Amino acid sequence: MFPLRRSFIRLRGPAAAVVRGCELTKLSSRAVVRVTGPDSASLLQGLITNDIHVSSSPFYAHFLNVQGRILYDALVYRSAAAEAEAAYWIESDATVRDELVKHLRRHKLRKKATIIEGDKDDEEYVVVAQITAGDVVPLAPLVAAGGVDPREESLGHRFIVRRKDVNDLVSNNNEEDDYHLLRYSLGIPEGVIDLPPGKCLPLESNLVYVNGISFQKGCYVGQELTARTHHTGVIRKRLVTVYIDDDDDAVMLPAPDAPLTTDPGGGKSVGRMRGSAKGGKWGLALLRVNALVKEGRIYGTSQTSDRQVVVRMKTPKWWPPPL
Amino acid sequence: MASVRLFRLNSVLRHRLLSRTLLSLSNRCVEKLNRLSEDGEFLRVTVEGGGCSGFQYKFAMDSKVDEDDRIFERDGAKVVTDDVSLDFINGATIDYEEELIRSSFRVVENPHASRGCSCGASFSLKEDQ
Repeated sequence: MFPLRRSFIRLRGPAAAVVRGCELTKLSSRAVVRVTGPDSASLLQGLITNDIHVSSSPFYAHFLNVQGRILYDALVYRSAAAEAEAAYWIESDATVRDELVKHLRRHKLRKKATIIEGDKDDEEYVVVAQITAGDVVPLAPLVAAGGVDPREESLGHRFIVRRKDVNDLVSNNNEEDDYHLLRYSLGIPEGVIDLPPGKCLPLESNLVYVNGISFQKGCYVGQELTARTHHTGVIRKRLVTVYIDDDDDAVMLPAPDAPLTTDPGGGKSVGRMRGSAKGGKWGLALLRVNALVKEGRIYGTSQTSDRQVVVRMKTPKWWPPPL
Repeated sequence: MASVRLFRLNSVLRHRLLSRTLLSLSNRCVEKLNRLSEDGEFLRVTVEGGGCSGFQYKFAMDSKVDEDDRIFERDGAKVVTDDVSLDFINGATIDYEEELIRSSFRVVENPHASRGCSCGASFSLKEDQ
């Protein structure tokens, strides 16, 4: 059956609501911000690509800048507690959490909303992912908010829990590398290395296919370029899963932002590398759509040595056929 | 010696005189407001976060003045804004435009605003560019 981890044996009482055999992964790369108050939905609605009123919890969205480039990618959760006021949890890349808070405060003006960093809250909150298939029982009452990952089914469930409760449930942190490996193999970007702030476009980052954007909602920051591109423009580049088909440890994907070309060490540029999982075998790259259609090989320089490596491309199964 | 006279005026009036220079009302705006407003009503201008360029203007008819409001008047027409919003629009002009596509109040020539969205309701701050 499922191997029971040592830590599971210690659980009793409320923590025993955890179903047997689930793999809980604490995601240290992500951090949490909480927004409360009667105007919290209105504040967020003017800043994100998705529609806060019709979306599930959690839902995926991007915060864009005025020029329509991605600033932060986020999962937004509606608070599970039955509170008199609406409360939302925003999960973002930990390295830009403070910038996100500044961005929210800047646009708040007179709205009745309070923005609280996840570690300045009464209790510190962290993000936990649960990626095992099969029956899942929510970790209530430990969970502040959570639900199915809205981007792709195989990513399982995601929860916001108090740090002090998580340490009981997650015995070590190695699984986070497994989470990122799964994510890259599925072609899902997350965080500032895959989506460098101020530089990339939401539609090129496959926001439509990860259910992160609504074209039926009103104005939000950066909407003009995004809506115009969707309705009248052509998307020439996309984030694509790339991988190395070689077991040699020295052969790894190129470093973030490294160029990818049609010939080893030269030739025409077909795009740039973004992030990759530990081990450097799976990652994401922003590639010209033409390059995908031609199904050629592309080349780059391994991130740990100067070797030229063959980079293979894989279009994720959840892409629609004519791409 | 106008400055000496100003100093001797009571604080409310002085406040109003100084306010007059911060927000201008165009002729069209004054005309429209005089036709539109009922007793005690004025046009409230508010700046909110959001909108396609980062911040947006909101217009509404109102009749209640709060503590943190500033009042701007010309020829009987009154425009009111709160001190937070005023930071974003001081020096601008409130206009009323009638076009085929729409007729509306607009904030124009805002020295703080940089690019705006094509419908004119949203703007971004110069320091952001």
